[in-house]
Amino acid sequence: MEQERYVYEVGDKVVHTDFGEGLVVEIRERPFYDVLEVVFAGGVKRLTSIHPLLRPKPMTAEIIPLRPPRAKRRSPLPNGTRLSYLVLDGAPALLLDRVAKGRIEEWEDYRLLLEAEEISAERGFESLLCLDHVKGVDRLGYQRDACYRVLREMRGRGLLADEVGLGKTIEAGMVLKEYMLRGLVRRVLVLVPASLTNQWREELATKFLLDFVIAGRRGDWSKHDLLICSLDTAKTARNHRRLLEEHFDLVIVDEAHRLRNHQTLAWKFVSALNSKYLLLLTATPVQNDLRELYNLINLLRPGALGTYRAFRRKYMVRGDKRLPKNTAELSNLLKQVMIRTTRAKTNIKFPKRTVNIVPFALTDEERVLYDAVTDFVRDRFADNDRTQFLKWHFVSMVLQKEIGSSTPAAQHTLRRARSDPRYKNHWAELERLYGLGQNVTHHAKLEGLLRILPQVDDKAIVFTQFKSTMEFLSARLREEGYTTVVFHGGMPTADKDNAIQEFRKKVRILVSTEAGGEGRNLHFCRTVVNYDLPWNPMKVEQRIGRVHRLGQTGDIHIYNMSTENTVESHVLEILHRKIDMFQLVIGEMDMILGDYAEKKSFEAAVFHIWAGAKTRRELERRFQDLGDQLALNRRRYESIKRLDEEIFGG
Amino acid sequence: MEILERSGSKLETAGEGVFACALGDELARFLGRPMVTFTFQRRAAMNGRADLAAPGSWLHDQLLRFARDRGRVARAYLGPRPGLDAKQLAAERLSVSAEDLASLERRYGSLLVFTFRIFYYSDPAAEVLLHLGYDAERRRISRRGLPRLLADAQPVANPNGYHPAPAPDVGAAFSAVWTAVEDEVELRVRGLEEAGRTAYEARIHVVENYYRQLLAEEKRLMESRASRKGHDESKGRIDLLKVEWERRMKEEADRLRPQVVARLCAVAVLQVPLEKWGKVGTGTGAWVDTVRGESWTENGGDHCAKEGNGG
Repeated sequence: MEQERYVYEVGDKVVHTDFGEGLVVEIRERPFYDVLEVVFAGGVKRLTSIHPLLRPKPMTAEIIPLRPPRAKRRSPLPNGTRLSYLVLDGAPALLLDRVAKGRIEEWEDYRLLLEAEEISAERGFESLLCLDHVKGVDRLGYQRDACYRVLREMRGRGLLADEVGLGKTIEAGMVLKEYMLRGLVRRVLVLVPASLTNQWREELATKFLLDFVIAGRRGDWSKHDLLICSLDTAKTARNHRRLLEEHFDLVIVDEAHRLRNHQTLAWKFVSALNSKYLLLLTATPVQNDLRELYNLINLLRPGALGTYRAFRRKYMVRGDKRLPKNTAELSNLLKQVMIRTTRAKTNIKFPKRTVNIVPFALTDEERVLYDAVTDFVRDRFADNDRTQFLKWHFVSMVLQKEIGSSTPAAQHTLRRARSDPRYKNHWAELERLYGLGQNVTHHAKLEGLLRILPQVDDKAIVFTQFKSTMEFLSARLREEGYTTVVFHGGMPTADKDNAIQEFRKKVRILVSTEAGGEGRNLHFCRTVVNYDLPWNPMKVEQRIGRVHRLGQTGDIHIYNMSTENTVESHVLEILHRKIDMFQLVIGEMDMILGDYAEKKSFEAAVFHIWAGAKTRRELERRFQDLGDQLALNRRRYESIKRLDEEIFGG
Repeated sequence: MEILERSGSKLETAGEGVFACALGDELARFLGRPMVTFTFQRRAAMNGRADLAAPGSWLHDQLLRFARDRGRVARAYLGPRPGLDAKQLAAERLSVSAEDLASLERRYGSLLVFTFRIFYYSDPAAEVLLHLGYDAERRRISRRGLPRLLADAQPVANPNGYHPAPAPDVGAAFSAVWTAVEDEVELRVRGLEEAGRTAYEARIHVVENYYRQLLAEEKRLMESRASRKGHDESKGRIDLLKVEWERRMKEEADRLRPQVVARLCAVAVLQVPLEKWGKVGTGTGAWVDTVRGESWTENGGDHCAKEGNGG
């Protein structure tokens, strides 16, 4: 009997006895048969439509898995399943072990459990389980709605494009936690800018109780299930290939506007990642033109906006790549894949900030020490011997920061360095500097702080970068009759929690190192004193972010101690006067820093200018240039914000 | 209320429709407080006098969670069905006269009841509780009448002097039950997939159209290119697009397919009284399940009594 001829069409699924399942991607018609181009797992093959080993795959096979022969159906128990879409969740092995060992509980409890299970039955994502498993997360309606939309309507692939400061990270964390609690997600990759890796890890740990690992080394990718990595590290040749071999249940990309260009390695890399669910986070999906938006959506749902040519014809005004047309239709399409909440829509009032610059001059002894340390640092920086330069680079940068913080902080390093064999060549100079430090008896900045504190009628956090400064301040403030508590990265978690509790309940001043800026919610306090100023603006932003956050009801007061003619005074000039950083919404600094946000390069730029400038004039000019660059970035960011508002509506 | 009583909490009335409850130690630890004042009336709760304990409230949810954490492995005993004549059933099974039979053995057998909560993440979504039994005597899945058996079971053995059951092979039991779960899930997923087929096909159609258009655009470009280099570039891109098309289709199919999560909630070990009847001196005979009225011989062959089945 003649076999029934099947007329293939492009897009048909086929099964080949040798090559397995494939997809017909092209057909060339011939008089008695067609030549099919079929993509199999092993590559593209050209076959005739009457090839005896080829047959169309049953229509139902697309979504209904073929039932394997009965004999081979045994599951790899108890942890595996034979159905790709079925997950055995929880820890059944523990329960089975208890049955085997006869460790039984009360029958009445069992009966109650069955009743409770019956009552608790839900349907899909009707409620968010994650809300009972997060800590310190404000349960805001718009965040919950975003979470539901991603889970229900977008089936785990969406663009979270809320305005800066509304908590995109929280929304992504809630989606992630919800999926994990329900057993739908196990392997997760979070791709973020390098400057935010620690912040993400900390937030996911403290708020969502998820232990992510910052990955980057070869073994990390398959060893851990929960990974955070900078996009730059992930896309390097070394990691790129390895990551593409992995399968992730969920990939989250923060600051996803970095994927706006489809010709970049970053876009191609994310596009090629194997991931069931994908969340892209950006406050500014469009920075230059609508193609960027198209590229982002195409990562999430290829084809949702058609080909670019079709998209351009239908939704872009000819001659202006920034102007959309058919906006109602475009908006409907975007709604299927993008969530954008604006501050105006949330009715959330963000408190005002008042910024106070507290200028003061160093005492004569402090000035002598500061200048001597600076000269020492500049000499090391100018060293032509590459080995010496590298040896001293980090130490001298720390020393320069310490002397900008307090004399005790610098003395701490000088005391150790003057007898450290590694620095033997410069022991005499270090000894001399240490001696100068011993002469300092009055601390101008401390006195400045003591003048400010009586003006603060409530609690205050005094931030410093160094533990030595923290201890010095804490002791001196106590001598002055203030109640204080310290907080630093080396404390055990329980002590940290106790310190925050004490501060909340009875203590007036928290003296904290940068670690105080990580994860913990301090919004019951409204005053921040930057006793010293980190050269990295992201760290300054994190400090402010501890008190100026959702949930803060009062106005915020920021005091910046500014010493004349120091590195910090230049940094403050740029951050305060040039870009008005202290009025930025949390999250905006990263956008303005642009490339400077990566790899501590702003900090490095500051140090290079300070230590490398030959003359005072050169120093001023180079800081001026750096400030101008950031000011330009800020203007550019403002125009991007306006463009996004125009496209998506304020 | 039952949960509160079981946890050793002491309940008192503290006004109209308001209850004050000194919590038992375990529940107090779980809720993080030594006592709760609660009401089932929304008005009283709105006055701030008490926590609402109605379905959907925080307290209600917490109590359910507390209950679901306990009693996950339990044992209970069933008694012989009144009026069931085990000897007669054995005689029928062996096709001999009842007078020729004597009681050879009386002991319990284990029926393990596994309770799964199965979540179907699909459109429409569903969540079901599935009870599956495993008869450790006959090494087979048993579904019949499980709710009734669970309701009839008592935490103490009946006084008829049945010997304890041998320890069941828990691994084999779970293995068999899990295969049954997979079958159940597979069947249900087919139904769900049918229900969601329209949305699925629409999305697949979008992907297909997109790649078809891309290929068409690239081909037009290739044809318009005069240089060999440009031609080869286009050809390379076309090949890549084809591979990507395949990958995307798989990705979308994977994502849009219902996702199912099965969670083992509890295991009950039901002790079923069994009687073995046979000819004296032969050692062989027929077993009778005195609850469900089923009989079988050790060399195979089952039989269910015509009169009822115990569930």
